[in-house]
Amino acid sequence: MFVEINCPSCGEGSIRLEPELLLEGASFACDHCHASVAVAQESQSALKGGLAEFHKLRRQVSAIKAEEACLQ
Amino acid sequence: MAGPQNPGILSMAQQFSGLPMGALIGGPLMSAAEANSQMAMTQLEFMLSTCFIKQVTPATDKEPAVTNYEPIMVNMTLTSGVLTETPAVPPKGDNKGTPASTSVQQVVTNFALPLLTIIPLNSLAVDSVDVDFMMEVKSSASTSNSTDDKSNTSEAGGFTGSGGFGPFKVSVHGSVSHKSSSESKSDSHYKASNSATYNVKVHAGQLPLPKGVNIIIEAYAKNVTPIKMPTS
Repeated sequence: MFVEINCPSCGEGSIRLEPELLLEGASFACDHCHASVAVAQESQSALKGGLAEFHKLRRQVSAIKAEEACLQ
Repeated sequence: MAGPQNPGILSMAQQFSGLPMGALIGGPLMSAAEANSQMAMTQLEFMLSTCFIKQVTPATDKEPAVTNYEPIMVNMTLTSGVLTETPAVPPKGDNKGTPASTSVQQVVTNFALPLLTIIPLNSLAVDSVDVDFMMEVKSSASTSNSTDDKSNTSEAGGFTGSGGFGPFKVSVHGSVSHKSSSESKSDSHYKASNSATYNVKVHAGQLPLPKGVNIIIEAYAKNVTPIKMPTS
C-alpha cells in the first residue's frame, strides 16, 4: 500500500511512500538522487486523521466486496 | 438440424438458445459493476470529506453561494546532499594554505503534499471478476422398425385304387405331400446423438481510479516543488 511521487529534489526520480511508515517517522529516498522525505512533526496529526478515515473506508469497501462476492 | 435424415434432433444453436446466457454471464458482471459504482461514490465522499476542507461562501444579493474545496496539505521535509566546494587557500607567509576540498552538506527543505496524494486510494476496487462455467448439452434420438414375416404351407394328398379281374387283384397306393416354409426378418434402427460443450470464461480486471481523480492526483504530484518556508 504505497504511493509514488516525483522527486521534488531532482525531478527525475520517484519516491515511493508508505503512509503507515511515514506516520512512524520513517523517511523514504529517491531512487535517483537519494534525497529522502519524511513527514514534518506538525503534520503528523493531519496524516494520522486521514489514514484513520482511510481505514474506515477500507472496511466499508471490504463489506461491499463481500456482498458482491456473495451475489456471484 | 431437424430433417428427414435425423428426425427428432435439434441443432446445438437451438438447444443453447434456451439457456439464459445473458443472466449467466451478465449477472455476476452487473453485480461487480454495481459494487464498483457504489465504491466510487464512497471514495468520492471520502475524498471530499477527508482530503479537502469545505469552504462555503454564503450567497449574497448579487451572487449565489460558492463552495470551494481546499486540499489539506501535509508538510514534508526533504533532506538532500549538496556538494559544497571549498576553494584552495594559497600559502601566504607563515600560513601554509589549504587545498581545495569538496564536502557533502545535508540540506533540509520543507515542502507540502496534498493529503490526497499520500492516501493510496487506488488500492480500493473490485480486483477481478471471473465468471467460469461449463455447459454440456446432449441430445439423442432413435427410431426402430421391426418386421417379422413367417409363412408355412403344407399340402398332402393320397389316393388308393384297387381292381381285380378273376383271381388277380391289383391294388395301387399313392401319396404326395409338399411342405414349404419361408421366413423374412427386417430390422432397421436409427440412432443419432448430438453433444456440445461450451466452456465460458469471462474476466473483468481491476477498475482504475476515475480519470478525473487521477488527473487531480497527477497534477498535484507533478507540481511538487520545494518551497522556502517562512522562518518562525
